[in-house]
Amino acid sequence: MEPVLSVENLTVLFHTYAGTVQAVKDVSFHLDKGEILGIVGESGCGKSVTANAIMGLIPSPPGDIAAGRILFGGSDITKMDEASLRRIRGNAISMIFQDPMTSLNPVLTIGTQLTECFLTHHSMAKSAAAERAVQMLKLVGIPVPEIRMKQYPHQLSGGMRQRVMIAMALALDPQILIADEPTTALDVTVQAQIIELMQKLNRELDTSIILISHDLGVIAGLCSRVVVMYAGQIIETASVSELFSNPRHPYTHGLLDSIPRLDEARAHLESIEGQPPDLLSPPVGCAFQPRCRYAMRLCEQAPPLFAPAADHLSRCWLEHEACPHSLPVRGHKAGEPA
Amino acid sequence: MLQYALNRFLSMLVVLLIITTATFVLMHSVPGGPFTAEKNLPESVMKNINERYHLNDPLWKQYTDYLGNVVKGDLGPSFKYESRTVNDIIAESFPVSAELGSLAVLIALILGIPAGIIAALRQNRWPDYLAMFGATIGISVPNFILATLFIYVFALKLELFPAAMWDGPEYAVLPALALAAFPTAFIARLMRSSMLEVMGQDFIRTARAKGLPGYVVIYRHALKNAMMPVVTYLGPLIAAIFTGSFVIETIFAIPGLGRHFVSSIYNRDYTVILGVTVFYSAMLVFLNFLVDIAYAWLDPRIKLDGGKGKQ
Amino acid sequence: MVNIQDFERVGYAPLSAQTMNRPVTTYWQDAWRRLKQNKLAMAGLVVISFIALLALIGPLFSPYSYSDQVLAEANHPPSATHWFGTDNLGRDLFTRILYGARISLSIGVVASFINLTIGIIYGGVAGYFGGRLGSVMMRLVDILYGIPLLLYVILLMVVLKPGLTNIFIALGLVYWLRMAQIVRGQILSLREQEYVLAARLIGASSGRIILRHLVPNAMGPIIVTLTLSIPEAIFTEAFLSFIGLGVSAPMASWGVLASESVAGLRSYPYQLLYPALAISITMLSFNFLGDGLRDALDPRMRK
Repeated sequence: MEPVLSVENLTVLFHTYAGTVQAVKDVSFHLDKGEILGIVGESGCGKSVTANAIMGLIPSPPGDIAAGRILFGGSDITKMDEASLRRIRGNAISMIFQDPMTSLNPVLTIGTQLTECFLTHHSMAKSAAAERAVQMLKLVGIPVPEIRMKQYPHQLSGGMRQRVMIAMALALDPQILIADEPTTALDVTVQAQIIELMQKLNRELDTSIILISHDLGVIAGLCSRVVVMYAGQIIETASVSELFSNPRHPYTHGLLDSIPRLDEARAHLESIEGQPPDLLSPPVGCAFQPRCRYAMRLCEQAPPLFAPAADHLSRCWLEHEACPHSLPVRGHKAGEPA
Repeated sequence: MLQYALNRFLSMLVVLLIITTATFVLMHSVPGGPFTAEKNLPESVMKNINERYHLNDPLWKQYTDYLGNVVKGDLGPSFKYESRTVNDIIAESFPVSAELGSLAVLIALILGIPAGIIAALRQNRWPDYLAMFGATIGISVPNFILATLFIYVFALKLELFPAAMWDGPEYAVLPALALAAFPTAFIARLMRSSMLEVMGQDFIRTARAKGLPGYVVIYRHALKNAMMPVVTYLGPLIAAIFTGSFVIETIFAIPGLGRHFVSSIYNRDYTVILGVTVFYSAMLVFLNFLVDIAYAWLDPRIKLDGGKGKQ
Repeated sequence: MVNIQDFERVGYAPLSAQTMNRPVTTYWQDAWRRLKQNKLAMAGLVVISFIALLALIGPLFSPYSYSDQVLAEANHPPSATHWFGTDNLGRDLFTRILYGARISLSIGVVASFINLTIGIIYGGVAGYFGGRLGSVMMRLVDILYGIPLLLYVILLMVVLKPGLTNIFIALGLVYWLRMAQIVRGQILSLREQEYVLAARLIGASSGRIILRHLVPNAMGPIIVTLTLSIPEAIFTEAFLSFIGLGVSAPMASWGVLASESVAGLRSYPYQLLYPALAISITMLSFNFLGDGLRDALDPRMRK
């Protein structure tokens, strides 16, 4: 079965006055129909830039898609002109963002912002668009939607605003929804509601979702496959259960170790020492090497992607067949987040 | 909204009181009274004047009398021109100033706003540099210097426009342009920085991600937000035009209220100075009040919740 | 091809790798670097320094004084003996412009500093003590903002009579509002800042907090406002002179020179040109510099 989206060797550079930043380097992954794919990584690792590249939203100076392809519906997004991209945005591929407080226009009603989704991509009567807008609001679980249509964003709570964002994103039944940190700015209880909503919509509408987050709990709760990014590169790809039970990269190990646990007595919080590299002058070898407990001399050369198991990729020299060392095994049941 | 409007209305009244009082205090702090400060007049004339203008009453009584008169709309007689009242002078010359001023406001808005928008949309490219360079010159060169330059170049040398008087539409061109220079420049800069700020906001990113074409993003999403600071500036804009009119009308010999004000300063005609100050201040405060209301109307956050907003 | 030695373990020293590739700079060094890149702002700075220098020592080199009248040489155009020509009373215009620089610049600077002082005191009190007192004080400022201040400067000058000190007083007393707002805003935002809390947590005293943390960061917008209020003061003084309320003759500020030139404009345009250029170039330079400072000191733009 053909994947619905295929990113191949994507490299994105930003030319700033201080130099050229290598935001995304040689990133490849695919998204299958109906699947929920997670992209995990810390701030600055390139996950948002990748998402923006899929939407064609990288500002063209200073941004520059230096290499790679993004295949969708038989065409390459990186080569599309603005008019074609606009037809896709909000229509075939949609995106929701992190902060619902600021992502909605404060001086326009919810109704206006929702109906314009329909009116932009199809010619229909305003009343027809309004009806469909109300339906969308119902779908995302907003009570008394007719009243909400006439309200302004500041009159809704954070959770409701994020639901409105989801409604706008799914209005035209897109094939792909990209959710960039959708729950980060919300309270924990509201987070759970939004995650539930996204699961329901994925089941009912068969929308493929790319979920970007730095929160492993959210990823574990929602995704079937995960991509881990670090310093602009993919360093590990696996199914969720495989990743959590058998991580094959020291960074992933560190991430999982750093999640505080309630069921173990621990004296201190684990963290990964050090800082991510400066993307203005990226290191020549493995980007994680300075912070890696298992670093070897070989790590001064950039590691390629290895396949330690079926459908499991890792960018680490430890996975080389001739390597005598290996990562310790984590003692957790499959599918259970750390 | 109603509460907000009431709030603003009360502030306005307080300001008017402060203005009237402050002006009154200032005028009466000229030592020895306005007439003795200037010339020596014979006793009998002084006596008449004192009685006529109630200058012998205790100060507080003069103040309350004055307040009472102001509320009735009577700004008193002119000190210098026996037969004319301040109200007469204002009634006669204000319409001219209003014409000139309105023209200047229109120029400022019609030129300044688009200039600012274009500069923002073409940031760091030549339209931006050009517009901003012009704008910086506009706020740096004082309007009376521009006025005299215009007269020299366009009236005296090129003879395209008249240098003085107010006898027809062509007489308005140079003064209006000189008067509008600073406000146009200020609005252009303000609009530019406001647009830039708005275009960097998250909801613009959302609008783009929905597939909206560029011009829709600008006029439906960005503009309304970006115009807010410009609306706030309308009050100071009109104030700048008022004060600018003093020199512009003087230079171009235009029979407006500004020129009368300036000559009343030369003549030390205290009631006129006092009266015109109160008039201008009151107008401005009232206009500011209207602008506040308009702003509140445009921003749904204030309109619906009286400025407090949810969470 | 890899060989077995390549798999040799190397040490683990993550914190040594923390040295950022870019040299660490302080806030001020970074701001200065950004300012230097702004050509217009640097040009403004150079011009201002030059004019200030001229104002200070220029008159010493001139063979003329600003008040010597030589009626026989009245209204001469620029020449080798009178670089900017003479005015209607035969006074050398170049010298008068130099003296005018002294007066206009000193008015600009002194008035701005008076505004700064009043503004810091008022805004500082309102911001630091906060609460009802602070709100009432700022409400008063909001109210006063609605008044056309220039009118009151004019009134003050009418009452006080024209003269240099009175100009200082009039400008200083009236234009402090903006500075008070900025100062108070800065203090309020700094009080909220996390790092003040952090400093308190590690036991720093209030005084130390104020000095090392609050003040340097508050300085940015204050410096910008100060720089931009100088051209405003120069403009106001020129305006006052133009309507006859400026410094008294024979002292000449640029505004006075400009207004004196209007009568003979048709025949002697140069009498207007030089003061006009002087005022415009000075105001332009301060505006460019102020704009540049604003961009350079904006902490959000720090890269």
